Amino acid sequence: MAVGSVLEYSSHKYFRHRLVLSILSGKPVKITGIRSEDKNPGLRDFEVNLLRLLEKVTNGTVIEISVTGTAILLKPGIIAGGPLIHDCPLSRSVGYFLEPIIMLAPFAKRPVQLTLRGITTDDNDLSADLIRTVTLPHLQLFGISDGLELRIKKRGAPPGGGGEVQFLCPIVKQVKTLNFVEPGKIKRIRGISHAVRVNPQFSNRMIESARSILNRYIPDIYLYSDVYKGEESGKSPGYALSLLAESTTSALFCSEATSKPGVAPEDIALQATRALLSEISKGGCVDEKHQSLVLFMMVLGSEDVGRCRMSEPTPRTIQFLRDIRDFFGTSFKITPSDPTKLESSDLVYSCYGTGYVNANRELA
Amino acid sequence: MSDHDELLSVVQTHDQKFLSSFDGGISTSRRKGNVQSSIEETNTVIPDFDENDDDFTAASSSTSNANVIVFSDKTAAPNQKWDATTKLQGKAFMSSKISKMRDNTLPHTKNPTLEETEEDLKERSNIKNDVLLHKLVHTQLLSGSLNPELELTPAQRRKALSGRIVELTGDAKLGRRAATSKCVREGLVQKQKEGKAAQLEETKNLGNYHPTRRNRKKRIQGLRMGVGSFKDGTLRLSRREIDSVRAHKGGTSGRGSGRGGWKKTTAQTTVA
Repeated sequence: MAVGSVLEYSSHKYFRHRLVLSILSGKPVKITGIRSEDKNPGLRDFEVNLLRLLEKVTNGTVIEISVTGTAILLKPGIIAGGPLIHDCPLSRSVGYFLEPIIMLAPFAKRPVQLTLRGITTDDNDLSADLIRTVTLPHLQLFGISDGLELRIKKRGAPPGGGGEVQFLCPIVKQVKTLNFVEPGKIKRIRGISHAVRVNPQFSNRMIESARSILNRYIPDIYLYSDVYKGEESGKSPGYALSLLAESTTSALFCSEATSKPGVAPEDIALQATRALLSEISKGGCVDEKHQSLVLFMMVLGSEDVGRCRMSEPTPRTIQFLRDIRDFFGTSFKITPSDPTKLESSDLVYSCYGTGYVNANRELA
Repeated sequence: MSDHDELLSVVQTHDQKFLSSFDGGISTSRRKGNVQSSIEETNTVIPDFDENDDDFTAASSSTSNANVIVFSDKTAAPNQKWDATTKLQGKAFMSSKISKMRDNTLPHTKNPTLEETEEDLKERSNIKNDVLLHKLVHTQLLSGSLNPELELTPAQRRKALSGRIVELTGDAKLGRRAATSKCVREGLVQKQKEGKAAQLEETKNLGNYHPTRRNRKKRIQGLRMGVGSFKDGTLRLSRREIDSVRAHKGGTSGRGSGRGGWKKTTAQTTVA
């Protein structure tokens, strides 16, 4: 833990992953120029809320926010974990808050049991369904599986919210090295369609509409209709379709679409289906939304070469790789997976793990 | 009559047109003479409608020229096989435990045919066991009582047989080697109960009865350690135990004044 080497960044972008990298590496981080030119300068309510959540999850973290809110300094403590309850604001869904916690939870002192309340399904972030069915199975690739759970107790659509999810994550000493270079072929497609406080037929309509496209490809398709009623259905009406495709080598691709006023459920379903097909066409073993998580876990693996085949990095991923080099000193080697095939844009990302060991964990 | 014939011919043409719209194979029958040349009759077997009405054979390979468009409503049958495996997979997928979600990579295919053969196996083994039991019973198991050398009277023989059966069923306790028949056993149990009831009456009469004294085991006879434990040649006392002994020292000072200066015993004490 290098004390005194404060890393400085600017802009509100990539906020979450910089905080996570700081907490895990132990290096303090200073972020300035947060929306300084904006009409409403400084941190937004969900960003402040995230900082509060990180304070709850960790022990000994010092967060200093400037008067105008356009600069913060985070001095990380240790990740404590344990049982926690947190209310999220209604400006972002629980996925926004859950993603950084998922990156931190396996390295906590005690197993995390986090209850988050707020909006469960949103346009901007991964919904609770996709986190449960796609994001958390990616952790299984690294040896984190026993006791990993996400329970959706209540659903909450925007703007009212009223949803509740509970995240349980075990602690590990060290994550395994990944070697995932075979994407395989898609063997099955699953989906979850849910509708809260609207006509339950919307869910069935979405399923039929999605099937009308997906049935052409493979026979093993099943779309589940998740029904929540009464108190567990939140405060606002809404419906959404989340789709995921699994390949023969258990690579996962996902997509989703949420309801918009004035748009028919069939169109929502078609949007989700087409997004899924475009994700699959991009190729690789990990889809775009989970590139950061997988690369992050590869860096923390044992001191061995980890390899993963993915599609081209998104701008977010590119910045993430740069920040990893700043915090951990690890850089990735990115090579085309098949130089002979010119059409395939798959790349193999390989890195040397830092051998991060969870020293926080409570023994016995 | 001519009207009738006209109508008949109209009906026939309609029939034949309708039937020829299929794969040209099925030809209408001879209806009393009128075989229309418009029908394609490439290697068709003209059935005899009067006798076997439903027995037509279609032609083998005459393809129709029309473009066939198939409308299949896949949504009508969303689940190909709604069976136990699909339900299990569904439950596993929707469960909150991530480890359970991924376990369904190898679905346990419960084929109904497999279950049947398992039952068949069970049946077979049952039959085998029945045969074996029959053989044993009639040769070895009960033969002790049938042994002519022992010169048992009929009553003795009956008792021996019933005792042997009781032994075989396992109801007889090995310790007592009772080999008693059911009525005898039950009689003994009944007598035991009566004895217990009588004893209870006695204790009540004497005034010794209290419900809490009901299920008492034998109390431990003899003396036990007062305080501490004796291990490895030393008496180990905890601070608590010492305090509990010394607590009354102030209180009994009046009494102890006559015998002041009493010493502790010479046993080695270690304070835990």
